[in-house]
This record gives sequence, C-alpha cells and structure tokens, in this order.
Amino acid sequence: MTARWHICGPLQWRNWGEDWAVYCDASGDTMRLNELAAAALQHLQNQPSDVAALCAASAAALGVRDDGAHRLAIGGFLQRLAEIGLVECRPA
Amino acid sequence: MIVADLSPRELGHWLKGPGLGLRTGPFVARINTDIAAVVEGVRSLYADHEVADPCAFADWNVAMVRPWDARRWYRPQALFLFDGWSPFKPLPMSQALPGLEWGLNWAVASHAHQYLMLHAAAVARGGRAAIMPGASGSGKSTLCAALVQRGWRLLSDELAMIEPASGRLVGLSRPVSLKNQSIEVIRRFAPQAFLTEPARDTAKGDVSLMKPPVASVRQARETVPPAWVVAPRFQAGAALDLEPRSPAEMLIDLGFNAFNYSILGEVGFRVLADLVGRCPCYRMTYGSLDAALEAFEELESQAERPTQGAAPEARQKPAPALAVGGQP
Repeated sequence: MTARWHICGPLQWRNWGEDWAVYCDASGDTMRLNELAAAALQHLQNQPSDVAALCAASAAALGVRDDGAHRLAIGGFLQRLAEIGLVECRPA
Repeated sequence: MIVADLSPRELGHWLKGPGLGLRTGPFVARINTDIAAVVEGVRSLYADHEVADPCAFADWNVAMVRPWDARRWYRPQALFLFDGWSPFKPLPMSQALPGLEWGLNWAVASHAHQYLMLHAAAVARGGRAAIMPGASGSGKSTLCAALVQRGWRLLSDELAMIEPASGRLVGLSRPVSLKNQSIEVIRRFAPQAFLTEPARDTAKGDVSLMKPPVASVRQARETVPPAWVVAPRFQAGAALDLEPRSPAEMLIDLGFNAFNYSILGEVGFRVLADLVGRCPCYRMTYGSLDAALEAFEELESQAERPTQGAAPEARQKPAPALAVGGQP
C-alpha cells in the first residue's frame, strides 16, 4: 500500500516572479516558497500524491531532472510542511 | 470645535467631569482625567483636534486617574482605565501623559479589527503614503517625526491602519512618541517642533511627545493609498542603504509585525499581498536623517516619473524553499 500526501486545508496563493506566498486557511500560517516548493504544493493541492509521483510532477513542471537531489529537496520540504500541519501522509 | 477653542476652565471641566470627546482619525476617545499634567498635555498636544459632540458615540472611554489608595499621596501614581477597567499596572505620576498615549494605542490595537493594523509609522505626501514598519528602537518614530517636520503628512508613528476593502491607509494624527536620544535629535533637527518635557525612566526610557502638525490633524479623516513600504533601521554612522526586498519576504515580515494579522485570517493575507504586490518594498539603513529624507524625496520623484509604480529590481536573495510567517 502506498502512502499519499494531502494538503490539510484550502490555500490562497500569490506569486511575484519566482517568489511565492501561500496562506493556509486551516492553520492560519503564511509561507514564502521558492518555485520548487510552490510547484510541489500546487501539485498536492490538485492531486494527493505519493512521493515518487510528486517528485516526477514537480520536476516536469520546473523542467529539472528528477534525480536524487530533487527527491531529497522534496522529501525535506514535505517533512517541514508536515511539522507545521500543512500536509499529512495517509494510506492510499 | 477644536480643543484650542476651549478655555482652560472649559477643558478642565470636560476632562474632570463628563469626559472630553476627542476625535483622532476615525475614532472618538472620551477622556477623563483629574491629573493636571494630563490636562495640560491634552491642551498642548491635541490643540488642533476636533472635539466630538458630548452626546456622540465614543469608540472608547478612557481615563488616567490617581488611584484611591496610599499612593495618592505617597509617591503618587497614575492609573489608566478603559471602560472603568485597568489593563495595566499603575505608573509613576511623572509618566501619566505618555501612559495615556500608550493606553490609547492599546485601545486601538486591541479593538479596531475593522482595519489591518501594522506596527509601523506612516506618512504621506502628494496623495501617496509610505509605511515604515519596525520594532521599537528601529528609528521609525524618529524618521517619522523628521519627515513630518519637512512637510510630510503624519498618519501615525506607531499604528499603520489599512482598510481591507480599499487597501487605503487611515490616519490617526496623534502625537509622535520620541524616546531617549531621539528627543534631542528632533529638537536639533526641528527647533520649531513642540515637544513635551521628557518623562524620565519609563519602561521605554525617556519619552517625549511631539505635537502633530495642524495640517495633518485637519486631513486626518482622508484616507490615502500606500505607495512604498520602507523598513527603517537606524545605525549610527552608517551610510544610507536602500535595499529592495522581495514582495513575499516583506509580506512575511509584515505578517509578524501586524497586531491583528492572525485575527483577520485570509483577509489579512489578501491585504498584505495586495500591498506588497503594489508597492516597492525596501529595507533602509540610515545613519543620518538628512540622508534618509533625501531618499524619501527620491522615492517620491521616481513615483512621479512616467515609469511610476514600477518596482525596482530587487537585489534579491533567492527565496528559501519554505519560510513560515504570520502569527500562529
């Protein structure tokens, strides 16, 4: 069984070039994101995903290679978002 | 009618009796006091402010009184009351006037949630406002006082209030609170400014209050659109540095800096995102008021040129993967 990452509530987005801000209605947190993090979170907003699918989708969106460094960045990002209660991992 | 229209006897009657309704921007504060220094402070600092109709609704009823205990006679104290209740401990009598100002700031910051309130000074000229966020000691009140003494309109030295629906700033035009070395700096910079005698050894050090210019008081109810966000930081001897900041970076800082961002929720995010998206944002390090004022003149003249409103290229650090802001 694969675990999937979900966002925990509706998100409000703003972006200025490569600089993004997002507000989570559920937690009241405001975050500043880079393009990579924004692409990953937007993907989860549209579609809960496992890590592999999320890495592939965010790499495709940004035109970067889905390599070890990319997966490490996404993994760290998910961990941090989970700590602040913005995403959670559920069994598929 | 303005406060200056009242004779000292009439002013004393209202302050010591039914309360003086004082209009500051969109608010009416009904003030009571039996403390002579506060009566004199209201007379001198609020001379140009409108006196509200005695029957008018007051947003807050506040008082600065001498408590009925032994401290009425021995090392007298002054107690701030809000609707008859005291949110603070009594202060030494010598701090009664700044204590009233702090109490009025508290009343606004704790209750006026129809606005997004930033811990920031705000000034305006030519129909454009500059918001200057900063913690205590950043130099925002000193810079605000200097700008106001050079013709900028005072909106507030402490509370920048934004109407969520319009994104416009609402002025308070209350006295500017100057602390410690700033008192002498502004005395030298603007000898014509009226400053109260400093209250010594307050929790914030020595505090003196600067009377707002009459033009600012008369315009207090005119809202103005923000045009710049400039976070000042005084550093003795520093050359002026006006460093552009990215909108998202400033949004996070302003969220931390706001009094009620978490209360307003998504509305607060929208207001701040609109603000930083529309206005160029900077961090200004300054070592002299003259250099800082020149920078403001330059910002103003840039805004008047045809490329008006174009945000400068930020010497921008790349966004971190994730930076969390706002209050929990």
